[in-house]
Amino acid sequence: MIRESYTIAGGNYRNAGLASSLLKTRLKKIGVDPAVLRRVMIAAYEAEMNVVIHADRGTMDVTFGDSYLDMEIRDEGPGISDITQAMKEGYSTAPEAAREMGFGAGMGLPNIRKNSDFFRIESSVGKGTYIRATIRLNTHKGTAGHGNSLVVREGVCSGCLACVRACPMGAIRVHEKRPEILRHRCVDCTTCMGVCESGAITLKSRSFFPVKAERGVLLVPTELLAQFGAAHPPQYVFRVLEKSGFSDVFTTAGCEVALRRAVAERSVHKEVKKPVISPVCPAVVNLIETRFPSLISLLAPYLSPLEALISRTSARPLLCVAACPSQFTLFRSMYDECEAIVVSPSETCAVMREQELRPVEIGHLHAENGCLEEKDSFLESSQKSLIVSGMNEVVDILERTENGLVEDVEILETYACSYGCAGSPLYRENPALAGHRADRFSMGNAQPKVAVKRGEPYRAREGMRLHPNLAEAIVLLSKIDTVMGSLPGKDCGMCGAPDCAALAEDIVLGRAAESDCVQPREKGDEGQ
Amino acid sequence: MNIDDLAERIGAKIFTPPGDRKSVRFVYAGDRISELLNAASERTLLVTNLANSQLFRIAALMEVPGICLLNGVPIGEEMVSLAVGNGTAVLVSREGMFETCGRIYQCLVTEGDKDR
Repeated sequence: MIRESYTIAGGNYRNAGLASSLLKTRLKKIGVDPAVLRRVMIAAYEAEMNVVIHADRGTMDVTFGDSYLDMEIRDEGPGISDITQAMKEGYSTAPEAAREMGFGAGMGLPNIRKNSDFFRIESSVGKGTYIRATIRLNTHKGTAGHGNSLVVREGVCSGCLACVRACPMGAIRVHEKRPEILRHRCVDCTTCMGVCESGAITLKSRSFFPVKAERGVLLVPTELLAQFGAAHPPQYVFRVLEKSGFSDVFTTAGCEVALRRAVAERSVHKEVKKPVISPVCPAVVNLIETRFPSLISLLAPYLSPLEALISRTSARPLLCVAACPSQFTLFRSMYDECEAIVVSPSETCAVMREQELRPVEIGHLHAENGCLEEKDSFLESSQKSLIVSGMNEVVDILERTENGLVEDVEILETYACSYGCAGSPLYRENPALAGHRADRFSMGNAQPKVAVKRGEPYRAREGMRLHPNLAEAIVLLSKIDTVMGSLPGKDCGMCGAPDCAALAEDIVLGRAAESDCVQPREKGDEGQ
Repeated sequence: MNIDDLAERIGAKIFTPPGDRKSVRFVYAGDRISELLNAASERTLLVTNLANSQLFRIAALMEVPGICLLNGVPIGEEMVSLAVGNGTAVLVSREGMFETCGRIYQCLVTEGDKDR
């Protein structure tokens, strides 16, 4: 572990940013991932400027850990009287001189928090301020620096802690109504979005639906077509989309059928270990790579339907409707954002509604649901597989698989959302109904395709490991046990961590303090 | 898009000598350091009225391809040397922010068309 210290002179705008510059040079030499470097630089520069603008002098201490970078910024300044206020975007106490230079937007502290994985601020009026920002150097190995797509909307959380308890990965902490997603644990499932009533956890969607999308190719998940009620069946919605200015519209239906067939064919071979797990849901693939690495060999080596569809479509510009964070992340990892626009289903639905949907005669469409051959193979392959949906169920079945309890199952088709993709919380329609409609549409309209083999093998993620070095991990583990012994063990979750074990881990890894525990202690100094 | 071409097409003057220039794909305009910092990327041209040393500092930190200043502001030797040291191109547009951004947008959009 290396520590470095930089001094920051207050009020010196000429040399301001020098500490950040020096830090950057160091990080570039180490070969830090550019996306991580960007986050470190924003956090470091904002923290440094805070000292320059508000304080007389300060220091920036940087600790380079194996997998993280820890910045501690201390200053001798006036301190902050109301930290909650200071954390709000747009609130600033910067003097006129600083404002003239373009500072004082009231974005400094929020920017630091946004760009760090762990953030803490302490301040006492008249003495100074202490900021600690920790940034993980290599978050998800599996997604090659693209991280995940869930974000927290500021100031929306009601502090109900439902997400903390629901997250199957124990990846959420909520402190003072500020949810924090531990990126290295998050697998991009939709559990937290599903239970969050305030809408604080949402999709990282910066794009918009281009109404004038001439010549673009639109890729949509089949379930999206099933969101418009009985009077507007998928076939009809599909036709409306085709006529709304895109050069072509493709659904994932064909690729879904192709994947099912490929997985079924694979399961026939005797030498292939059972159950064959279908990679249909990217979130479940993430889950396996993170929490069940021993099951990686069971995953069929094919692309998920959306990935397959993207890889088959060479036309540009490409527009893709991502129905959940895992699809969104996949899409971002496959294409630079400048080449493609990703839109969320709710935005698409809004656009669709503007297109004056006319009711159509249902009977007419039933006749189109033909194509019996496809239907049979579709049904047959779905009968052979065990379909499990919803994260809790999926985790349970994967645990059983790991324990060798489901060897009688040939194919395991798992979805992170209940009722499969139709159950994404981003959709409005009843999931069972939408799923039913989408399936019928796929049966009748899927153009047979061939499943696409994965180029990259599945790889275990380091997310859950305490430390890449086993010896270090064991030391950490024993520390966690010690801390765990001092905690009440009630698993109340009031500290913002899902249970006492998670808090103990957070304390040892520096993400939380022992004082976060709100339960009265049985053991401890005060009682004796 | 190549910065020299972009400058020519929007009628801006380049103050830094030609050399290894990065291409521009995005544009972001603003007069707040924090906002510019947040939006900056290796392919984002920053358009701003802020002609001060801190602007060049963030340009260097975020490795932006260039900065476009507005309303024909005079550029000091010191600033140019700062930019050259960082590898940041410095453009000065005769127009204000709205007009300049409009022109850049046109260029980047038509450039995007060519890619297709």
